[in-house]
Amino acid sequence: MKDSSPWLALLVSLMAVLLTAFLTATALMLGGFSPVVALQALIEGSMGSIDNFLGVTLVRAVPLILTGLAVAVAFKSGVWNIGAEGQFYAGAIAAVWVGLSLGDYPSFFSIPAVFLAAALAGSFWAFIPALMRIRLGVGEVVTTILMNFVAIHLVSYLVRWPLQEERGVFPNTDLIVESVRLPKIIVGTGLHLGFLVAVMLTLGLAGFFNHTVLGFNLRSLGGSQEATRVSGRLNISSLLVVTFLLSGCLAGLAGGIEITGRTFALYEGLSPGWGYTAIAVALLANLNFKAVLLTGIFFGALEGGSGAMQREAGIPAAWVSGIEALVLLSVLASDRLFRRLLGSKWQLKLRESGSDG
Amino acid sequence: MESTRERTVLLKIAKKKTMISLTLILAMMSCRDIGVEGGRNDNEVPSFGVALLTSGPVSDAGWYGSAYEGIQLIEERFGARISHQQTNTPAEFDEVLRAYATSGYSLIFAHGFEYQDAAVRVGQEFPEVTIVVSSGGRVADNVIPLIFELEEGSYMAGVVAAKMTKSGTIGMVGGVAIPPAEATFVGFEAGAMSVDPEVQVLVNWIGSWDDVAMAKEAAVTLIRRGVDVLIHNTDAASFGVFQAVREARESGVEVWAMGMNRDQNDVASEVILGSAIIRIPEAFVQIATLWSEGQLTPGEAHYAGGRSGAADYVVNPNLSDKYDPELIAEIDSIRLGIADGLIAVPRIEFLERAGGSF
Amino acid sequence: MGKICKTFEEKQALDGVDFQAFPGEVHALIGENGAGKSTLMRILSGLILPDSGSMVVEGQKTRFALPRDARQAGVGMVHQEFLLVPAQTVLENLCLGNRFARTGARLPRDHVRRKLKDYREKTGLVVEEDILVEDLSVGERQKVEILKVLLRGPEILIFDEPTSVLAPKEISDLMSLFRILATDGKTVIFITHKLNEVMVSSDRVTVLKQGRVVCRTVPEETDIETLSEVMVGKDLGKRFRKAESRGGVIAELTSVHVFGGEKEKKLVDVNLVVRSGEMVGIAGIEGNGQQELAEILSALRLPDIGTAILPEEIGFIPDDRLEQALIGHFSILENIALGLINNSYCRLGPLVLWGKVAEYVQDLILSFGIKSEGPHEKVGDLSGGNQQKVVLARELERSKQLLVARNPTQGLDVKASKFFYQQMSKLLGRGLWSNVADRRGGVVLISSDLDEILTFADEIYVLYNGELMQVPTELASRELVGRLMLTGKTEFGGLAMAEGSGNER
Repeated sequence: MKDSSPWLALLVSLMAVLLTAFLTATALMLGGFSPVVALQALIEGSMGSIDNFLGVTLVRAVPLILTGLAVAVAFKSGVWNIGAEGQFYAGAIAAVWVGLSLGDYPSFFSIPAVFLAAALAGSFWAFIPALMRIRLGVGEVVTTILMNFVAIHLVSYLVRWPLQEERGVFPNTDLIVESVRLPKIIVGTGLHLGFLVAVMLTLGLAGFFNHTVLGFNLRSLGGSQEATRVSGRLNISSLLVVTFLLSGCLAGLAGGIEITGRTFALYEGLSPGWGYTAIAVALLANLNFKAVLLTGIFFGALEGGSGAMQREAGIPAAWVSGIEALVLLSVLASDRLFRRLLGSKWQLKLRESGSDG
Repeated sequence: MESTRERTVLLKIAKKKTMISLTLILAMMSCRDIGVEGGRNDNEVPSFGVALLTSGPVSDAGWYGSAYEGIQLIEERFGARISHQQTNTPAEFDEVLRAYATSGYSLIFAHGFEYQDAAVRVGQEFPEVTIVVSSGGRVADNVIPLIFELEEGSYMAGVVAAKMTKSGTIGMVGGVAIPPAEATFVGFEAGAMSVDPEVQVLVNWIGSWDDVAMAKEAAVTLIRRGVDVLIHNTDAASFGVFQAVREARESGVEVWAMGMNRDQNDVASEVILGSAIIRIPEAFVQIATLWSEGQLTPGEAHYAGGRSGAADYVVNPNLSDKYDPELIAEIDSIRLGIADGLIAVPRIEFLERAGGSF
Repeated sequence: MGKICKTFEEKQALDGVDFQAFPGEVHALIGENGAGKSTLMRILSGLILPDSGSMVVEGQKTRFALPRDARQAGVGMVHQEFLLVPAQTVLENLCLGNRFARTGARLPRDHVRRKLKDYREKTGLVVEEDILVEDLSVGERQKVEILKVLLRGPEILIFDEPTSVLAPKEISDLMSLFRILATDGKTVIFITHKLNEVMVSSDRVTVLKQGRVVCRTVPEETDIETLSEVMVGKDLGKRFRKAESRGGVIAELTSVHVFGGEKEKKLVDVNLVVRSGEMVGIAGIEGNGQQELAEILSALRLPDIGTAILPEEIGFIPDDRLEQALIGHFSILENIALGLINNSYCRLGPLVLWGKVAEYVQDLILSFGIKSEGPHEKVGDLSGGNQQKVVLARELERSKQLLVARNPTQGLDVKASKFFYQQMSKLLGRGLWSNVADRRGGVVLISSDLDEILTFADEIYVLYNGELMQVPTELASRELVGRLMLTGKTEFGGLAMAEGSGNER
């Protein structure tokens, strides 16, 4: 069952790409669109230029990476947190609230303060399902989803009443001041500090899970709760709480970063379901943190590119999201499919040549 | 040394699992030059580029759909190059506006108040581009709110409603209580009052533009409270209002509905007396005309109302027999009165000159 | 089967094995951990492909690419780890995925019920059909597993270490079942470590060692000593030495009660004293309160009533190694770290010193003879016996004062068991280690293996229905303890039981 050959991996990925391209091209042609123009727009829009790669793909990847990390942390530790969406909104609410209440302090003070608020709010949002699981035995799949709805409606309420803009006209908050906005990593592109934060958190989490006692304990928790309790002699409840808090903290931070890095105000519908896409991001990365960074960028490219497909190739939005889903499905399917097909053939070949000689 | 081994193992795993995404990215990068240039067969160079941003699907046969019709009309009349993108989150507004601004679209319709902050930000960056924000609240030199004076149409609807009601109670089901929507109800109420100052006007906001079930619920409540002419200002949720009226009529209650935003008379032609409408496509064409002639006043909102024929009330031809001929004549005279400025319809002002940082 | 070879990665698991079994015979396959017994049987049941070699089943040359092929050829295997759905009833489990061997059609429930009745009459194999699997004891689960295989109507039945978790009565039942099946014309192959079972129940024996067949014989022509010599390659050494002296109290349970669900009593008024240097043996059939008692002794839970005085450093070997002791997709290194990571040697503040852990683990792998590719091999890829060694290594390492062990030698071969008991001697401060007597620990051995208890324990108790009864050592015989395990009663009505015995009402 060893599939360590890098050539095999490369071959599998190449076949996956080809199959994906073939399927999407077929779908586009069936819809009466030119696949060449469409795919060119997709690629051009996401990585056709440094500007697009930095300002579109990477910027769009930030919330996906952070919520993807949140999901990966939870799933790795055996917690089914489907609530990254709600925790994202909780973080966004806290960020905008603190950002608006803070006066014009220097950025090195106010930005960390806003991040802290967002992280705490996300954690708090995850703490409620944690308590319900530990104290009442209610499964977190249901509670985290319900907390998503609570957060979404809370945003609707806040932007109409307590946090509504000063004019009191539109359902959104005022804009946060310049000093609370994230500086750009590269001036002239949209790429803001949030990307750096995402990268550092990715590396930090990878290190944390591999090289600290607590990280190891969380991995054990995900491996087997019973073995962690019996053989690790660890308190499962407190490890669960840590997982929920850490996961919520990351998703909350994602919300804070979107506010301070991109929109500067809180709007309804701020997240187009990033908290759910995050599950796909994390699973495609096989819950590996460093891989989440890459799959996050891949999703970012896909979203950015599909925008360009609408603009440049004139393909309707509904078609574009269909194509997006098709790309994802075929990547996932062909990964497994070709790995299995080629994997066994490859092994047979090796085996035959080995036993003949 | 030990951890080197572990790290290699980890790296190997990571590599395996992410090879796919890496290869995809690489493949995308490497084949980006292969594509055939362009896809359009136009021989003529388009006169200018017009872009449209919407937050919802242009297949809605309503607010978003008529905006798309608008830019199609502009393409037809001016030979302009047009493009549309549906945005999914406020976080991508800047990116999409910037993408249009940098690829030669000099007139951008951002169809919804939600775009106003991003429009000011991107507008500052690209002074040569004009961004028109439908129902927007912020004005800048090149950011022009397009204000639909739908209240002028709904004023006329109010007159009809007050004439038609037998119970003396008329009602409104609203989507999200934002000033442009509230303005239409103020107009409706004023129109009704102008006929009968004693008339009762009840309002129910549902907090959503397209929640059909909520809208129906709200309509049923109003009908129970004696409302017998019911207008709405929602988007897709209006189907719920019409359904409630249809069911009430089936159970023997004499109720009428009225359409809003666009001509909805054929949506439920047996229960809709008429519709208060804005002609979004015409308003878009009007702006494009002024803009191409250099007549669009920088730093001022553009009003589209009764004067330009962009706001109106349309009688449902199916139910025109329900109207007194006198009433029809009265509608026509009110229309003229509004156009001439003789009738002042109350409106809510919410414009703000953009300043500071956006 | 002829000239079967199988190589796993760089490890040669089977090296030209010839193996024959005939209809109507009970065939014992024995060998050390990692000798290749399970691998060979997995090939026969189509779970893995051989690298080379041929196979003839019922006169036909075959090659099983899939378990289905083997099933259709009439080969059925009862695995060491049960593959049952705990939340479903016995009947549902039996219907699940079970098809007629030759036609592939699904078995309808009524058919299954009828069949069960047949088997009950024919073999005495009784399992309640409508009870949830999670409520069954290990022995009963095994019966379900056997029935599952029998329902497919196989001609060849393979049992992978079927007796390691069973009580003596259950073992003898199983052995008579083997006989019944063989008389019925079926081929029964069973893998075991327990040589007395081989001598009693098998018609023929094949001994595997390091992937080769080293001996083929029939029980009449050999004896236990010869067989174990062939298996291990040398003399087993002396018997375990019993305690000569005992120290102070290490652990003490006083009037401990544990309640299960509604009014259900898991433990009733349990009193137990463990002194340093002493091994306390608790015999009993699974499901009589063993799990609760073990968890209380290893400080994993508190008694509902009563007191438990326990030392700081306790090692615990759980019964279900893949559920409670090991994490399958973790490496040996990580699984051992699970218990030892808080050791100051292995960590620096919040950081894990994986280098130190690896050195440590490397030593343990060597001293316990864990057959693996090294500390980074996944525990799930190891053989059952080697998995158990990982657990033993970790828990012996952490138990400085008290070791609580449930069926610790399940799946272990003679050599590994011997090594385990040597390590226990060390903990108990006996033999070579008697000079460090002041630091001796205590051991509580909770086992359903009566022989193990009788051989090693200094104090013998029987746990029956949540009640703990002490059996005076001078009276402890196979018969008496066996009867107590099964019935909680003894013929010696007037026998003075030690404190805590409440069985004679």
